[in-house]
Amino acid sequence: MADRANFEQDAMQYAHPLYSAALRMTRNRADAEDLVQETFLKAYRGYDGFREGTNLRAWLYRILTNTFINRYRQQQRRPHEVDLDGVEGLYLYKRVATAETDRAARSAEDEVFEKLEGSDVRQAIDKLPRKYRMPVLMADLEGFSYKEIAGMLEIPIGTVMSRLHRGRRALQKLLWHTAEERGFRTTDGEGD
Amino acid sequence: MRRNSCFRAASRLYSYLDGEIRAIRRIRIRLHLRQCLNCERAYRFEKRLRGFIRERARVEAPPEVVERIRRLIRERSS
Repeated sequence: MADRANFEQDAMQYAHPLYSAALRMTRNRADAEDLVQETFLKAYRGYDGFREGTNLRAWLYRILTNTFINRYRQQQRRPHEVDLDGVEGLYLYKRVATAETDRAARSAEDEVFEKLEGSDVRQAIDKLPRKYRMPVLMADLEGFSYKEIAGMLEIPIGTVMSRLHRGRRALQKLLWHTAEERGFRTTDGEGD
Repeated sequence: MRRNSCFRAASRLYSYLDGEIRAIRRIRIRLHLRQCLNCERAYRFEKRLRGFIRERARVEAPPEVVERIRRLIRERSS
């Protein structure tokens, strides 16, 4: 059993990663701030129930996810959410590999990564519909296992996998388009 | 023969990257990656992309938010 007196010292180190996750869940700062605050206060109240020695980050993340789902039962859609249909696997890699054969010296792969900034990545994630965004956040940003994700989202593991695959493909497609907008060219030469 | 062990579906590569694959299959894939340049490149790319996304998606909480939460917790503990 954990001691509430240690809560601040134990848990507050996760304020930044939890805020980061909350912002990607809610997609706006005000809601993310509320969500993180509520999460920590709930966690504080329930800290007696946390078993010391187990994963505190995962425990907090579970509270965050539950709070988010309960608070925003209605899935807010955004006008610019991505269309997930018909995106092939390894979307980004295939395009980069094609570009690679078209040019010499400079690595197309490096160039794509240089073109993409943090805000591009965050905006691309935010364009995923919630159903796909949540498992992508949990697996790719937090490193949770399929089983942990299934538990937190209360969906079967098979569903976690299929949503992850679709979400990742769509994310790659979005990143690719952003790289193109930023001047990445698949054909050799005067791209910039 | 070679083609059979290549990733026909990206899903297998992702399961491997996610560490969500049974030991025997994991070993088989690892061996394959040593022999197959194409799959190895795809794997390295996906791994790099994963790290890149994780790194770039990270943001810091505003200091005043962290401070407010700390204050609220202290109020409740006193």
